[in-house]
Amino acid sequence: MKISIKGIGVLGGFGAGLAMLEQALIHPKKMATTVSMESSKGQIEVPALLADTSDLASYVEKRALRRAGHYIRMTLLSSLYALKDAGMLETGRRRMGIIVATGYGATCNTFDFQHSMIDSDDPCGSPTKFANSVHNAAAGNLSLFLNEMGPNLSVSQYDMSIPSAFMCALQWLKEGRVDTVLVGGVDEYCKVLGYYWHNRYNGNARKGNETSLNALKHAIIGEGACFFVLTREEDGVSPYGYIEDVQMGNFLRGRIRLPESTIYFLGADGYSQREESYGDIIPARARVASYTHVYGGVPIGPAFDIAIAALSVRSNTIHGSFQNPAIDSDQLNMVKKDEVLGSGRICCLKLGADGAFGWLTVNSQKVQVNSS
Amino acid sequence: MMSMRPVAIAGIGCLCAAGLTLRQCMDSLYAGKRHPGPPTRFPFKHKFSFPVFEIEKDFFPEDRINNGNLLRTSKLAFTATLGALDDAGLTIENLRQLKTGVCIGTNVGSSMNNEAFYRDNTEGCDPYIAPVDRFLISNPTNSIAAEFGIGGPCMTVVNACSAGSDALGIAASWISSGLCDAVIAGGADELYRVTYTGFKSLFINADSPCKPFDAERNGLNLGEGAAVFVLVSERLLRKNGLSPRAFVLGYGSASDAYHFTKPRPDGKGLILAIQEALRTSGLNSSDLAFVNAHGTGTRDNDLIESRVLDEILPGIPFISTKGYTGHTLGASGAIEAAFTIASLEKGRIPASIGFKTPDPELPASPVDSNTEINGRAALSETLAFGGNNAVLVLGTGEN
Repeated sequence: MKISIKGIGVLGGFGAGLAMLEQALIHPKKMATTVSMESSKGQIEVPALLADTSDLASYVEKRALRRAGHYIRMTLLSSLYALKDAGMLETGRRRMGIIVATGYGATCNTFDFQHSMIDSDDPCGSPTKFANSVHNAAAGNLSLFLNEMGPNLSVSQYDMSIPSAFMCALQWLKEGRVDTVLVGGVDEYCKVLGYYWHNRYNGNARKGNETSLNALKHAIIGEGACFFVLTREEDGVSPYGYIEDVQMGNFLRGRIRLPESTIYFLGADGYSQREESYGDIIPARARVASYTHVYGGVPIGPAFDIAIAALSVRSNTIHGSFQNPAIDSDQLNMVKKDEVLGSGRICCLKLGADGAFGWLTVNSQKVQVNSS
Repeated sequence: MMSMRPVAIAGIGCLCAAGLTLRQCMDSLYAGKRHPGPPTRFPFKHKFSFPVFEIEKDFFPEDRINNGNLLRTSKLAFTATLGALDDAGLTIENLRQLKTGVCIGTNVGSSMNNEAFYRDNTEGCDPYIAPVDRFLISNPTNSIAAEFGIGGPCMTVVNACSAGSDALGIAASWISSGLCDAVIAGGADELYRVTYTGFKSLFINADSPCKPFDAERNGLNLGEGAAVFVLVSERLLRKNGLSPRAFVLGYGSASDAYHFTKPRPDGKGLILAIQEALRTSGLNSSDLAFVNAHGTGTRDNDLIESRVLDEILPGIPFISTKGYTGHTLGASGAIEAAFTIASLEKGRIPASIGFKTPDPELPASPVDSNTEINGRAALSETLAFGGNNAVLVLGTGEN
């Protein structure tokens, strides 16, 4: 069975929509804004790649969004882009499942609810903020908004949230539970995260080896949403290619068998603990690229890499990689300028905390799908 | 979806306010005992506190774990995992050499909601970031995988109150598709001040021990606990000479697409989930010995469930066990799956404690006394925020 990518919707610090993402890849520029917050030591400033959902007004009446926070809005807009791209915005959705991955969940509502609890000295938190603070607020509202009654799943596995969501999407398609899956991820910035990241990585960065310190200097907090429409595809051609493989595991507790003859997109965003290991586990001479500067450090980052891989398949071009200090470029064979996508296959690899790994391979050719 | 092959359950671990083992829990259920009380583990300044089902005793086996610095939800999940391994007669060394995955459902265990950290942060105290560091590596799935050195797929399901059922259904699919040889799967959630206050803000906490399906029902009680199952492949069963304790026979899930916190009045989402679960199990409704309903004790939930059960599973006895455990949120689907299997094994379902007076608005009512049952399969259902409905069909080991 072949799984094709029928549509993609993206939203992040680079802008809203695939065209903006593509522009950011072709013409790299400084996109981070600065977020300020008070602390007892004075004002803290945190660079951040933040998403703007104002385009949602083109699709949804304002009244329908009055209770929807940023987390839900990002999910909706990105999903609507993906459905539109797949030609399924109004019709054509048949037996569709929804899977939403998130690393942090609805952090703004989570902390707003706590704030209302603390503020009111306990008993009177806001019911809307509580209901919208649960991780599945995004997926639930998506099914409500789209009037989709199929299976609906939310998963949260830190940096591995996206591989686990795709693994499940492929299972559903293989089992015939659904004909289409709207799968993707969302994570939002909040001030508590800004404070944490400032302390962890910028202001009071931990001491480590040179690579780690270099990595920390480029790390920028990100937020956004990225969704895909996947279908089983026996006939026809997908401009974005096909999902060949999804794998998850832990390279400290078991083997990691990476695919050969592929280009690697590395999700080295400067924050994960194991970024030095990319150089150790990538096959020798393999071509690698990293685009984390476009979307920032965010648990659902691998979704953006998958979108960039699909765009590369569509344009048959691998864009020049960001010179990423988080990975040792002497050890890795970086793509420095735009190249033709030769092998037709891209592996999006993420290494996470404690040796966790997840990867997904996009192939321009139809292939039988694997997952484990 | 095509029908699925039965997936073997080699062992079950369960703890909640009804007991620290599955056997203790079932003894409490059959004896009609329950122990609600005011929350003791966190302060609450309101003049009146709503009863909860808390695990008061020390339950965590410090001597069997290397890293005790875990969230309470992870401790619950870990303790249930040890119970499941013991029940299966497996050691973690057995599983470590195989392709073993972990799939746990939770709410609190995956939320970045450390109140002390947040309070200090908002008050400009520059708190230490250790609680956030800990959050970022220690949901129950990660805690189990790290402690046991498990290197297979890991997934935390955060489907609110149906998370435990969904985790079991997904884990069964990992086995049946050959993705894993074994999966540690289930649900876990702790009682926490944020959820306690949150449910209060929704006005669905009962001010007395809950009365699922009763005419006088007035809301739910929160609880805490975990249930974990060791699911194994046929190959592993044969290799280790294991005899399955039970089976996951079917799984279905569907959305209401109606309201974020209220069930759909026509129950269509729940009906779709039940139909999918039965279809995948290859069973008919007449094969079901009973139904373990979600039965929270809220007006809306119980009304919809009663209507749906009367419409599509008429005459099949059903129970709610939330009167013994409280609503354990992300753990409830797993805990109730454990109770379902234990009841099938005993050939007897416990009385739905709290239910006394039938509600004339409800077309069907649960059993009000311990009741003998016939059959080797039963259905366990959960409903959740977000309009999720998840249903499991479970069978005894003789299947």
